[in-house]
Amino acid sequence: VQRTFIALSFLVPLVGTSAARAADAPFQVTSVHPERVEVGTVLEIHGRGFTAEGSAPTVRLQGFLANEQGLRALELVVRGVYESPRLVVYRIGQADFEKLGRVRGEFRGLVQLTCPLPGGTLATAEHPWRASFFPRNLKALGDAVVQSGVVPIVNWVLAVVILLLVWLALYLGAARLFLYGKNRPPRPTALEEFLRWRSRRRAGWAGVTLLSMALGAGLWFLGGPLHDFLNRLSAIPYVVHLGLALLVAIVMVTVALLYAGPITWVERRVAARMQSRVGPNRVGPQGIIQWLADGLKGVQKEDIIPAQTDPRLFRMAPYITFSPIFATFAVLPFSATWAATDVNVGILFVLSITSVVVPGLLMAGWASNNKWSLLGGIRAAAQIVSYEIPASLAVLSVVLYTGSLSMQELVRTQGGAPWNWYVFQNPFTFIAFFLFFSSSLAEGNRAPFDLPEAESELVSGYNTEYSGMRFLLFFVGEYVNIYVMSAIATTVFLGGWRVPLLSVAAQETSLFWQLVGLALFWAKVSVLSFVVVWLRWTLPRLRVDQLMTTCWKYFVPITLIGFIGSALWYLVFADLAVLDKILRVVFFLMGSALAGYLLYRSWWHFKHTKAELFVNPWL
Amino acid sequence: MEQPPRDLFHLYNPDEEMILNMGPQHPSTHGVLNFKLYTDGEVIRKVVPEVGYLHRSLEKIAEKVGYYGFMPYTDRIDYVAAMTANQCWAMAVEKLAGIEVPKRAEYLRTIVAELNRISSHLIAVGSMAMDIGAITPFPYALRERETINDLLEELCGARLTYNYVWVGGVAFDLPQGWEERCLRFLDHFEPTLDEFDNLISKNHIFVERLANIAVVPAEMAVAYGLVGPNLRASGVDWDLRRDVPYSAYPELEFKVAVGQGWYGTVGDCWDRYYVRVLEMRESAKIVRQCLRQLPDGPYMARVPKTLKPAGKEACARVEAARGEMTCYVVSDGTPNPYRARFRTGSFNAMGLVEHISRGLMIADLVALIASIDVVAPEIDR
Repeated sequence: VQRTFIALSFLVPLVGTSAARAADAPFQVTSVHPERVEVGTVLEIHGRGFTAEGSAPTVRLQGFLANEQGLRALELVVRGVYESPRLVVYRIGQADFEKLGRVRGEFRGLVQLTCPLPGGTLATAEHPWRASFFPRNLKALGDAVVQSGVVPIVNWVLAVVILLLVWLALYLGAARLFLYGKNRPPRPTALEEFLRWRSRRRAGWAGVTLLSMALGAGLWFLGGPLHDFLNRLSAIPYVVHLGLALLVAIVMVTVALLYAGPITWVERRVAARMQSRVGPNRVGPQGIIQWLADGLKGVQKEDIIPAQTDPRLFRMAPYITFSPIFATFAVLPFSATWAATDVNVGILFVLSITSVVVPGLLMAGWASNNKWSLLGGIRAAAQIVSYEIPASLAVLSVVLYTGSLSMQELVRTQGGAPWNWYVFQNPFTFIAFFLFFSSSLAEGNRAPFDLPEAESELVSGYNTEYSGMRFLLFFVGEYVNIYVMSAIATTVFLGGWRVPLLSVAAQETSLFWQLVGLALFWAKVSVLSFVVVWLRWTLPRLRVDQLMTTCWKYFVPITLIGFIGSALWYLVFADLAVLDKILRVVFFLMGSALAGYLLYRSWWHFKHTKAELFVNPWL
Repeated sequence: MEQPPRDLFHLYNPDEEMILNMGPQHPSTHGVLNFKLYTDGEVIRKVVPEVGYLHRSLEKIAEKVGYYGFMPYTDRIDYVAAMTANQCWAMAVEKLAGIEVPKRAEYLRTIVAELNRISSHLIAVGSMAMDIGAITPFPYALRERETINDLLEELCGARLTYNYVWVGGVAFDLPQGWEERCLRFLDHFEPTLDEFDNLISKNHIFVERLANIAVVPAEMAVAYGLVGPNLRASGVDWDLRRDVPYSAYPELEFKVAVGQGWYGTVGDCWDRYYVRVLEMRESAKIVRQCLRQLPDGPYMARVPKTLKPAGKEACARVEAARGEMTCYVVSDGTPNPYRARFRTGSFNAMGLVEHISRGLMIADLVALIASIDVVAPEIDR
């Protein structure tokens, strides 16, 4: 079908031009615009000598439309609007798209214009035209959201959101009380607060809140008429679907933030213990809500955009870095049916959307107009782009066994017992797990691959010039990324939410086992996150060339060999189920021995480390 | 090639060379230093160290404040290891005035100098690990240094700028139980050095980052006037404490650590790092010996209230933590010196940077700066 289309598409312009040349009409079509057609697009036919005596000119579209479903003929005859002897226009409406069967694809064909001549006769001229047809995109999005099965979980999602908001409000109230006690200053009036807020320059979160409140109030009053209006446009489903998508997004971001916050505290405490220090222990019991205090402080800071920067890119960069990392939450499988969506290309989506971070970091580096930032941005780009390859290859050696790229399918096809995890599937996936983990460390700019923000070399790398909320976006993105990389490793290699000795069906139907699966998933993710933190405070940093050497000379070949080896293993052991089972258990025991040795060594060093010595008698 | 118009000169850059200012405010310049980097991406073509940000005219001040009055200023020459600078000035003035220092004072000077050497080297190796990206060893090094600071504080009341060594002896005798506490520290400290080796020295990434980087051959080290651990790391077996002994060193036994190219070439960054680690062990041994052999007697010679030296000029050399420190004093018979001059190790090490850093990467330059262990006030004085 594709080939036919290509052949035809070459033929059509030839026919068209020859027809135009041969036309005996007293007028001529010289060009047709535009090249992208959506609902509401105005089709413009330019030419010379158009007439409209008595009636409007007729516009006829004729040609072929190609999309992934195949090739089909397309024809549309409508009444155009005569603007001038040089221009006839027509607005393509919803009805036209309905008439054409809601088409989407590449159109190649002719536009025929028939004008009534002064004598009462008709004459026709034509011109070749190619364009892309899009129906309304929101509809497609809404359909996707509904099909992905989000609707049933909306209720608990909503509950979680309300709960979090109430919790936040309570926390803020309590913080106010604790900060000032009984002597708290008189609460300023709303007007005073607004004026004070206006007089300071901040990031726009307060503005966003106010705006959305105003919007909500407006919707409350205008709800009825708006509903009627949307109903007349038959746009209700779109709006509902979009709303659902937004709601799910909000929940996902909240979940991500609620993880990223505490992990910063965990990291600081762990680092402190490792370095014979105490770490943050003032805000809340053991400093557990230090992250909230830091976050609030960051939000309150002045939003500084240095004078010599490229302000637009500078403002945009944190969002471009932050969004794709959060977008991965759309496909992470938290439990048997608890995932925002289960698209059939889940792992591909994750691997590809995380590369969108690269332009964000480059933007931050470039827009800062600081050479250290620029170096950081370039390092980040080179590093992330390189390490995606071994990460993808490592995942591929598992995908061979799954036969699917869906995240849920990756979990479902693994067994619950540890020796049925993909990490112990064969020696190649065992190695692939470690290489994948290291590569995702490099992709997430974590030590020992934290070159883009190496503080001793590049001051702070691409985020040197950032402060306040914008810095927090980079910062939070980095910590959410710890969760994401651990979650992907858990999903692909460590059995995800599978409970040992329990079938997938049993887990999908029971709320209790769903919760147990969720707990298991989070436990595995937390262990991996701890390892990420542990590595950061243990290892020195590689040099740029060593980083690249590690990737291209070691990781890429080894993962490639692992991929081939995994495929061969699959072929050999497909019919030897018993032997396969025995080998898996052997690999599991070997892996456990390795982990046990590591734990023993850690424990030994923990016990035998010299404590701090105090000799000063007056101390 | 055609000469570009003058006003566009700053835009005319045929080699696409990037000029970077590393410093004066940069995390890894170890003080207020500026390195002007001419780089091709990450690879350095040329580095021009710009010194002088911390110049405080110490030598001119010496001409105004007198022989005794200058002693607190010498603390500020090298604030990481102030004892040796104290000692250097004291020895020069003693030589000038012909003052005999009591034996006990010489031993006390040696003890504090070696403790101070350990604390200085702890900063050096800890910050070197931090510059390479391993943050954890640094607090461990600082933790040990705290104990030394406690000991020295007990001795003289100051933790950084001691003013402990005076012309003619030392300021105070040891407090009660100090020897015992010092021995307790040494018992604790020597095993922590093994821990430190486990923690970072033999770490594969650390070795890969430092071995064969910025190699300084012996001839070059001598030609550029490198001193101290930097010189010994290049394989030159030269230590003032052994070869031109002063103070109590003639009566002590110790080894001199010399770079052997353990993991790479003799004189690379890792050698410069490890020579310091070994020196810390030797210093601990020296302190032990001194405490064992510590004689009784006065800790301060009788010195005149106003010093008007009879001698014309004197020169004293000590092995400071950053290598040989030389003090040259000229007297005109008045209470103030006519001229004083200090020769320090860091300044010459900075001269080497421009030559040695060609073709390195930016991360290697950080390692190089850390490994030569410069202290900004010692460069500029």
